[in-house]
Amino acid sequence: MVDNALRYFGKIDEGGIVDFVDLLSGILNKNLGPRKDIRKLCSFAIELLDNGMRYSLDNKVTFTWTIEKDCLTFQLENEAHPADAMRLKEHAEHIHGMNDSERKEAFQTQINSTHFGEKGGAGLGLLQILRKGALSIDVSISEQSVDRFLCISRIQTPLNKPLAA
Amino acid sequence: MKTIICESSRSTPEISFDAEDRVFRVKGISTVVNAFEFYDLAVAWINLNGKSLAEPVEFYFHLPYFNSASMKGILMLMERIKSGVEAGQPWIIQWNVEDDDEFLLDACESYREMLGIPIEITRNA
Repeated sequence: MVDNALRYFGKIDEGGIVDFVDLLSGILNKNLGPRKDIRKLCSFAIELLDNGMRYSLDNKVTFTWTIEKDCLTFQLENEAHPADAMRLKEHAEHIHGMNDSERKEAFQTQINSTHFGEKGGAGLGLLQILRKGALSIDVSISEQSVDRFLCISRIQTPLNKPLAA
Repeated sequence: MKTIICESSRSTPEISFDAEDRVFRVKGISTVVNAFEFYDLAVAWINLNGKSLAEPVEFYFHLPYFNSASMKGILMLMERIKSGVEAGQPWIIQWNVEDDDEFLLDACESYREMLGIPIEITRNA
């Protein structure tokens, strides 16, 4: 049985991300009670939406959250340039294959690099999500047309144990 | 007198310097897309105003939420502060944590580890 769910489709911008986080933190506090990891859970949504905002071809996303039993799931769908979509999928698979110390090393390398991505990203979002305790990040991509891929990014986080420090 | 270095918005913190209480504040949510440009303005302001910062200054960070691009931008700003400290400036960094929140405590620990300088945790907003 789903305890709580929300689905949004439409344009997203920096302020819209803040609106989502305000709503989500309120819902999580109400559903889960006082916890010290509410901001950490919300930060996963921030990173997903941030990716959607940067790479969506039309600034539109479909964003869903679901709280079901002891699992919080975020899902983001957006259309992206084929090269961005493939890079996202490869990146997700790459960091999924890392162990904790490799992720920590990759994080430190990336944050200390003076380079920001072409679209202003730090290349840290998915890495941080996995480092901070998400169970999985699944990215699937499918071709919609020659210059347009649909990206679906899904994050699952257990709620019955404290997240990683 | 308070100088606003970067105006706050729904997705950016206010960055200011109060010459009377000697506090350089970064306060607010940071989900800005162009984090490099945003935090570089603060770095540039410190570079230009070195003289007025040649006394004790508290660099106070209160960021309830931030994206990872901002985390990198904030590190860039803290590195500038660190270079001042290493050059002999009597500067300290304070990091505000609400409700013993893990996200904010973890971020502080990451910055301490990466910078290798003390960062004091404050508990009140």
